[in-house]
Amino acid sequence: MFEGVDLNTVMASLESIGFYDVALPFLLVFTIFFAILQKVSLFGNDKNNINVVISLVAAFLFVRTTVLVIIMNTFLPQVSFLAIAMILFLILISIVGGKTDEWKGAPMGIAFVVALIGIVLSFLSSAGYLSQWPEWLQLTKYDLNLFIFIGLVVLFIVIVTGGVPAAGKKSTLDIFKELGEGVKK
Amino acid sequence: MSGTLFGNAIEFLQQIGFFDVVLPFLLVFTIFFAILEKTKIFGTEDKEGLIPKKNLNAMVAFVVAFFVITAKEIVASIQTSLPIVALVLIAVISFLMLVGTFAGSKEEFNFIKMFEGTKGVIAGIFLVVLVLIFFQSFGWLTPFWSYINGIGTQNFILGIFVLAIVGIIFYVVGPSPGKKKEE
Repeated sequence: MFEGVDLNTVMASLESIGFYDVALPFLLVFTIFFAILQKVSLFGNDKNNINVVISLVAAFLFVRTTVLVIIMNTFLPQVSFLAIAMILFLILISIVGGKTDEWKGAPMGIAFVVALIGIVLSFLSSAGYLSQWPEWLQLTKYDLNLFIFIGLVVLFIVIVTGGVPAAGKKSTLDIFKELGEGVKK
Repeated sequence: MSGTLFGNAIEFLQQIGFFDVVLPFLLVFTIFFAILEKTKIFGTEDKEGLIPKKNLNAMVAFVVAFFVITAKEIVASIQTSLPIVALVLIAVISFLMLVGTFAGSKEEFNFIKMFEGTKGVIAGIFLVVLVLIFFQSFGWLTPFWSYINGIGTQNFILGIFVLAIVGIIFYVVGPSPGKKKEE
């Protein structure tokens, strides 16, 4: 029965009927809009029909805008890759004895910043904005060296001045300790 | 997209004016009707005030929706801005998913509860993004982008320099954190 089956051919035929360009984006946008409208109950409780119509309109308009569909098709795999990288990181942390189910404090803050930077970068690169900076804002090798130098100087000053804690302030060492504690908790 | 089965269906819908007439009409009608039903502006059928006057609400929503689809600029703005908002929503949900990786699985992930104090900032950012999206859909941001593109390195550095000086002045003149706490 499954002798001649080639999943690559199945995927190719799905692509040829526009499954990835139309059906999947439509489903995703419809589901997200509907879920959010249901959650926030913007038009009152038990207003499923209204939420369905608004979600349908949003999904149809999204699917029609080819540029945005292309951006989404690039963006979502990148985000999935980021998620996989984060899961792998958690696996590595768990190997050395850290608990991975509930982060708090500074580590959670770092996770927040990393996720934000990752999302913004992948969004900008999918939209092609990373290569479209104004000419005067494009960094040369000299600029990069300058920024690295300034960054290092700032880091050095923070480490040196932050090492001795003022009254009620956390030292750099304390922050690193808190990082470790947050992962351990 | 064109040439595929689903793509051809979308093109057919486009040809019959589904995106230019039917969808904007449906959207405006539904939103107006829902708001009128929720607010019960035209009164209620019963004395308890539970059943809104559906026929009046539907008629007003119907007329407003017809007026909107004749305004081409508004329809074009809806067609441009709504998909961008959807894309931003996808990005926000992806972000929540990534942060949620590090959260516990015992209870529902509540971002605002976890990062208390970010509520105002996030609301502000969303407001700015929404305003920018609508401005962009009307083409009002084009002069701004062309100004930014032609600003030049010298002016950019001058701006950063002025901001840095203002920042340093505030840092030096402003009250120390210890004093703030005492106050």
